[in-house]
Amino acid sequence: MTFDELTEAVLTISPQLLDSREAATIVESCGITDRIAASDLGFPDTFAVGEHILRHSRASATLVARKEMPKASFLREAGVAAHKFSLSFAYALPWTLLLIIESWRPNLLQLSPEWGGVLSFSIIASLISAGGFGQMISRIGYFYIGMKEPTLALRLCLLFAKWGALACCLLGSMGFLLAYHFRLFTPRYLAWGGVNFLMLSMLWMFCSMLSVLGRRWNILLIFILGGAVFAVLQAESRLGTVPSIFIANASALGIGAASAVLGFRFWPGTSSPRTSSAALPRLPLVLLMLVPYFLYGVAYFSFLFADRVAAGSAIPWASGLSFGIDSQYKKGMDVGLFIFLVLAAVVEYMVDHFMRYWFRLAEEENNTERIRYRLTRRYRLLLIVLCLLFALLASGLWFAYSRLEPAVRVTAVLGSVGYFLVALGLFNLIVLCSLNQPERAVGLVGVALVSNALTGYVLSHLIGVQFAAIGLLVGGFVLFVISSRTIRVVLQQSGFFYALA
Amino acid sequence: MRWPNDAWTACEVWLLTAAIFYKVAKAVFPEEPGRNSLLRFFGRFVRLLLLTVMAVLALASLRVLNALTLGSFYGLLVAATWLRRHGISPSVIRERFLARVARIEHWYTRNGWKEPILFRKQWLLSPRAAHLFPVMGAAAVVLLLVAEVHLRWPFDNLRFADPEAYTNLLRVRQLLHDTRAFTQPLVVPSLLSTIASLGAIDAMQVTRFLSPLMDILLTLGGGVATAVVFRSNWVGVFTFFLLGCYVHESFVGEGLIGTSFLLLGIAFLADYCYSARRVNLQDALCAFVLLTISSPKAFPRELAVMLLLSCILGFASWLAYRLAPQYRVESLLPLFLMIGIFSCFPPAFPRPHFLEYEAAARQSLRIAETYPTQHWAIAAPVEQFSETFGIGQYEDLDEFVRQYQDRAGNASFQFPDKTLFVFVEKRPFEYFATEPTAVSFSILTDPTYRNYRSPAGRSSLELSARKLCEAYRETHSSRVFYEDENLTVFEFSR
Repeated sequence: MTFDELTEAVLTISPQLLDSREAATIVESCGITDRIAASDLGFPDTFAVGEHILRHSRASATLVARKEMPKASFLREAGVAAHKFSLSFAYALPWTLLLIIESWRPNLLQLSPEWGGVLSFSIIASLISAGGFGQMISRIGYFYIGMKEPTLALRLCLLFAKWGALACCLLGSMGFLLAYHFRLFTPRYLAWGGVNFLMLSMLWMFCSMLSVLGRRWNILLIFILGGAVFAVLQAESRLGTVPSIFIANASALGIGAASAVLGFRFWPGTSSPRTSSAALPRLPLVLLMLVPYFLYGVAYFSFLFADRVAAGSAIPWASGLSFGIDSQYKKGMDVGLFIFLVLAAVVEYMVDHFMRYWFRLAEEENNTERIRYRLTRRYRLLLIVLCLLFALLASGLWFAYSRLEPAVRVTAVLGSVGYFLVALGLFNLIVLCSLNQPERAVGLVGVALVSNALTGYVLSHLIGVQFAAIGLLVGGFVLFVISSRTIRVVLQQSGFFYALA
Repeated sequence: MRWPNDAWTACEVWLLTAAIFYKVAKAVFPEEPGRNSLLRFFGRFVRLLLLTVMAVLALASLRVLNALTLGSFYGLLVAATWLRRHGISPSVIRERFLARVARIEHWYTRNGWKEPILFRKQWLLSPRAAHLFPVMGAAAVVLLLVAEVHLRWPFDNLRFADPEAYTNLLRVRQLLHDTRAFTQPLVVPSLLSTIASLGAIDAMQVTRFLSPLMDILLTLGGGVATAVVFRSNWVGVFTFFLLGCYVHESFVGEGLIGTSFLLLGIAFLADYCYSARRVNLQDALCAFVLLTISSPKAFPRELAVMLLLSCILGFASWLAYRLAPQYRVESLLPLFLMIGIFSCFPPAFPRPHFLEYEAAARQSLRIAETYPTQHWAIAAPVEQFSETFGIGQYEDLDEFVRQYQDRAGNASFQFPDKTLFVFVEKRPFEYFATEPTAVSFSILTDPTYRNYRSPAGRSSLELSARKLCEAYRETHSSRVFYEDENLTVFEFSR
């Protein structure tokens, strides 16, 4: 065997070699011993052969990368950025539109306090419960789509959506019984709240399936069509606001379900899940792999809405209601949420960029110290960019802040800073998930969630509703600090975590 | 259908209390075997009660007292105890989980469900059981007697037979609505609000059913105290009999609950003297802390006499055991004394001190359950203030009459409340059988006495209230919400 044939054989077995020892192992598996390496190839031993092959493979990869045109590289980067932004904007755009319409016509969504309380509670509950299943659907869907197995992806996504629906039904029933027992709402409101919870939970799950397919604009279309149905019903019929909301949600759910299922069916190379012969992977193993992501999704969405739940529960007892988010508080926090949605889109792209940078660096660079130094520098640079972007957004929104009443302005400022800290923490969390470390991410979000919920709950009850925002601020700070510490450890042992990823 | 509903509510209250003060206390305060089971129960009870009082007061002062926070508190207690005993390492947790699965499998294969039955059968046939059987039989009979005496009024009436219960009820409602956290009384309302909050049961029902249960438990505590001090189970049963059947004041009143904690503290100290178990000192400390925060009063004469009698009997039994152990006088003397007292002075039900008609209490609860919270108001005597605090608006009947009696006939006038209920008595409730002939000036000028306790004052007020309602009904829409031979509840809605 010549040296070129040996190199080709090693790179066929492992196209992306991690280190020289891996290459040496493959060389030995090809029947090359130290004696043969010395006599036939002119190397002292098989490790030296492995070292040489590794260098050769990296040099070729760098050569290929350098050959790419700078313009093409820029366009590809812009494409990646647009792809990442589109997911967040698919949710952010309709929500921003709603915000603008609400400030333009404040009476458009006028609801009784009871309906307001039950609907906002059901929306938050649906986001939390579907958050976990959404993460599972995304992970498994991306995995099999990436493996060019869309039929399997469809079957597994549908399976998890079905399990999600069942779990939501169970949760909804338990929630109904508990809320009825503790007299949080009257049975009529509770029943409709449960229906809304189920519809929205399913809608979020179908949206996750659509994001797997890369059809982010379909998600935007679903929300716009749902909004249009609501607008038409409000303008043309005398149904009233609440029935219009339910019909609009049902329409959005129908469109979402149809888009998701048909999207998979007509994906190139997909056969019908009923006729497909592709065997499902072992479900207990899949579950074991996905449970951390499920927990991460639930904890993350609970963290995002913990302050609103705290504020909603702090409604004065003299009002006779058990739950209701103060409209002033909501208005203030919505400004902060808008900033967060923009920052989250940027964070998604930044993490993708950071990970690609890391993997490329690991392939090109041999010096571990240098890799660590360059990664840390890039990490800090990205955080600085994020800070600058927040400053820019906050300055841009100063006009909106100045138009708010003083109490709402305080909430808006607290909320904006809180959401900014959450965005910084989110950067670290997504890096951890990208490194196959969802368990660490779950632990960090769990600690931050407890800080957020405890602070927000106590302060909102003790001082006033608007101080629930301090919970988010404290939670965001805790999340950022502890996740930064974890990231520091990860960057110090970058080689180990690269291997895990 | 009042009986099944009441029985169900009583079961809910008692089961929840047992779950917290028996199961949770057992999980939170694990103990080495060897200590008397009743002492162990009361030890855990006072410790958990002290923690509960502290938690309720802290949560109420932070304005976050509700089922969620209380449930989290107990959950954290149990979790902290578990972690302290077993550690937090995931490998330990996994091993314990696997060991538990293996135990369940083993239990299933060896028909483990039969074992508790076999164990009890063996225990019942043992010499120790044969020795304890007579005294336990006597204790069981006394327990039934005491239960009958204490549960008679609560099962028949929603209204309270003890005026102090209204104070407790008001404090429970204040705690549940995060107002006046540190106002006395503290101990009993904290306990009641815990059960009311966790069980989502109306505080009135909890006060109604939990108070007699606490009475029974605390009288049992008195029995345990004398049993430990005189080292005689029979003396303990005798004390339990006397306190349970002949002390007619409720132990749940803030004055007497202090006495119970004092007795329990003495029991723990006495057991420490005999057995030198350090856990007794901790329990005694908790009991004395509870005694301090429950603002104790001097022993009532009735209770002092009963305790004195028990002590004399205890001393006599001790002497008899020392001088002539072969005659077993220490067992026979308390037994014959109990039989003698029971024959000569059979236990009577405590004299109730009702402050309102049963229908008034029932209708208040019905309104609270039927109408949405804070969307109605009630104009009624002062007892309804405790019954409706935090659920609806309350207006004192005397204030109401004085404010509106001149305008009620005016068609353009309307009551400010959206839904208003006015409680008017056809036959004014009689707190005294006859008007007292001698009343101090301070009491005479007290508005509650003048309007609601004095028969003449109450009659006059009820008559004015009825006239006001009739005049308003002539010009406005209204309906009679409830009516019987004693009471009419008018409903005025806008």
